[in-house]
Amino acid sequence: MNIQLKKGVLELCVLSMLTNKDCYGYELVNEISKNIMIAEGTIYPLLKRLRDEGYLTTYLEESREGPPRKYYKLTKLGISTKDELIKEWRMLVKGVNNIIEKEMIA
Amino acid sequence: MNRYEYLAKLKDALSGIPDSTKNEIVYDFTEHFEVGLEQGKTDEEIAESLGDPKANAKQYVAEYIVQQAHKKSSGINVFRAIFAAISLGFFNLIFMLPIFAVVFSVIVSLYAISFSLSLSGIIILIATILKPLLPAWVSMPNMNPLILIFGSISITAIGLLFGIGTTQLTRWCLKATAGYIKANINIIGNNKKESGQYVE
Repeated sequence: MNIQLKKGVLELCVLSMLTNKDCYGYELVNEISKNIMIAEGTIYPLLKRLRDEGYLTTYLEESREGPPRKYYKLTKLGISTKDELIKEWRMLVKGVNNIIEKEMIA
Repeated sequence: MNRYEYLAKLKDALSGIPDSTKNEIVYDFTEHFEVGLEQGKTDEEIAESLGDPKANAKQYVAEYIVQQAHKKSSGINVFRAIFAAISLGFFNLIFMLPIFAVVFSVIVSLYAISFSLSLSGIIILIATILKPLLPAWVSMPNMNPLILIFGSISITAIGLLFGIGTTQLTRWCLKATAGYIKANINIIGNNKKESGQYVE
């Protein structure tokens, strides 16, 4: 997949996945890599950056099955950024689709 | 590659990052291996889908360097960030080099202008003062010494102001460069070649 395209899209995926519940790293990575072709390791630097920039916070929680897990949670800034990104994404997809459809008919 | 080899390679490649951050990064990957194991995957499978540890480390290192450059836009920090960005394949060296050569020479010449203005003002001032004392040594145009003194002080002041302006400009250039790299570097890291199995 084109590197430039991956940028931003992955951010949007991570932020969206955290809308309804907090997730730990593996969950995020697993779900994203099921849908998008990426090297899974690229998600972790992204998570760290999103946290450094204040979109996410983390906390540790015990797990029944093993060691504690690091959960990621959206901050207020994260929520508003996510809503903004989703809006932009929808507009972009609509615009690109319009162009593609028009070309297909012609 | 088993988990220990993977983590060792990752940690090795995280050079330049503070230890606390390094440990945190290794922790994240360790947790990933552990959860994967619980899900019934083998170390090898997990390592394979994580992708090249060196490429992943490179992404952290580049982001760290760029962050530092953005926080403190000193010349050295910004140059490190530029080279980190080049090493990630974001900037093309051939493409960037002329741009930096131009910016660099413009800034150097602005400093040179400031320096020569300030210096010539000082020299005129000294000469004006020395003329009555050492008439045989100093030759000056026949002008009112007051004009010369005030003129020379103004020239020096203009030179110094020019220098201050240039310093501001340099700072602004560094900051803008750091900001530009920061905005662009985000997910660029594991390029296609490095994340092997996902080449399309």
